[in-house]
Amino acid sequence: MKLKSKNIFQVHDVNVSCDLVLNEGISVLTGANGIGKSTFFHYIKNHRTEILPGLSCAFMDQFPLLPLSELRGEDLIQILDSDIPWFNGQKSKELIKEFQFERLLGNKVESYSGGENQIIKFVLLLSQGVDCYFLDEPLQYLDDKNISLVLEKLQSLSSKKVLIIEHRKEKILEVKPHFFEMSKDEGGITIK
Amino acid sequence: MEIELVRVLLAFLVGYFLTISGSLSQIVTQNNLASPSTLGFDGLAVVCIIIAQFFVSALPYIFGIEVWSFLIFLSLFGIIYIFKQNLKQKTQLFVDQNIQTLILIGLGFNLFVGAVFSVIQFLFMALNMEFPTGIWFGNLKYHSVSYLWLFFIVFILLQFFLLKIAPNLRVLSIGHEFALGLGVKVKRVQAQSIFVSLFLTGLVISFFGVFSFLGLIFPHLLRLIPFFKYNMRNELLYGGIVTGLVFSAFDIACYNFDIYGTELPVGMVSSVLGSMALLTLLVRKQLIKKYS
Repeated sequence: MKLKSKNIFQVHDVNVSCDLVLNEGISVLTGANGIGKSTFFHYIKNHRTEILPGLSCAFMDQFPLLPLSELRGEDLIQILDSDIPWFNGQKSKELIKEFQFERLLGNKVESYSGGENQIIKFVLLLSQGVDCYFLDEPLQYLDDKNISLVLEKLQSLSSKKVLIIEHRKEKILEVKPHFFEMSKDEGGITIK
Repeated sequence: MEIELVRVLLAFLVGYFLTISGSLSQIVTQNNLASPSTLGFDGLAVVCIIIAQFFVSALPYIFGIEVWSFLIFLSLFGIIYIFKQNLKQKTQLFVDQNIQTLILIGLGFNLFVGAVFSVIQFLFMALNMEFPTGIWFGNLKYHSVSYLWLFFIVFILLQFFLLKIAPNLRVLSIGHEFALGLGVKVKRVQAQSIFVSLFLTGLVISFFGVFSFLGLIFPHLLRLIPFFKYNMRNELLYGGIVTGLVFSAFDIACYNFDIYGTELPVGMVSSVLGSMALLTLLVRKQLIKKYS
């Protein structure tokens, strides 16, 4: 994935320019709070067909899962398994077992805590067999044990293109990522 | 007990359409309180009946008032759609509205239409004219085989739409951002679903009058059954069949229960029960929020 363009979108009326090449392996986009990292994430999500032609991708955003009906974790997995061709329900169940969160399968999704919601979203992301993975602050709400497990799982994706948005560099050093910085100068905001 | 087959089939289709209309509006807005009644679709359709009643019926007879009303409904929708597109380009007024605000606007609009309706009712009384109650209170007294054919064609077309869109809507019901991440064209699915919901509501109200709150309460009743509760696809594909049958039975009961020789309008009964159910839902939601 190569994204080299001026003024691709705006954050609080400031133009954002981008010079980013996403290769196989883990890349991390860092930057100060409010600079527009999540806006960039949503920009990619909304323009994936133009930015990533021919590549399949999966996204994990910061929004909690709040289904309209009272779905349990296992219903959620069953729905995705039957409606999304690249989703592997069996893998989801195995990952939940690894995280020791089997109780989530029988509980209502709306009752999940912040950390539980984050784990299930991460599991649903990893269960998708795609070319590129995009994660927006995947470590938030997680305790140290689960952060280690998430980082371990992320390392297993090193043959894929992975872009993580994370403002705490030190948290993610373990996966030896390539860093991109989103910063503001006189010419606007740049990602490089 | 008397049972008329055409009426029973039409009652089934009315119940079916209102359920689908309610389910679609709730899924695409991701809000349990959204429905044709709370979003103001009912009010819009009633305005069309009022226009049809006062203006179009003065013209030489081409179609019945119900057909005119439905055509006006579709035209008004088109005008609003164009107007909204223009507004979107110039301001962010509609873009920034959240669903709670839209529901309040919809309810406010329905109240306004109710007030206009009262004024019209008074004018009829003051002018010593007979008030055309038939179309105001939803009922299936004025049914015909030609209506059944029209509703049946819509029913068939609706099956194609639902089969095509059900998987997308099921993923959408998990969350809009989540569905977007999975590649669902959220805005397109939302626009198509709202259009179908509006079309079905306009069709039912134009031909048989207002059945307030059924579109809100039927999907909720379905979700009390595990087969529908855990699977939005089942609700969209089969839920309307269950509620259609329930509504048919309800209409047969109203048809056979007259008060001093006047048939009890099923729409009037459903409005009372539906609004009570809405209040119960709102109170329940607050209580759950408080104690969870």
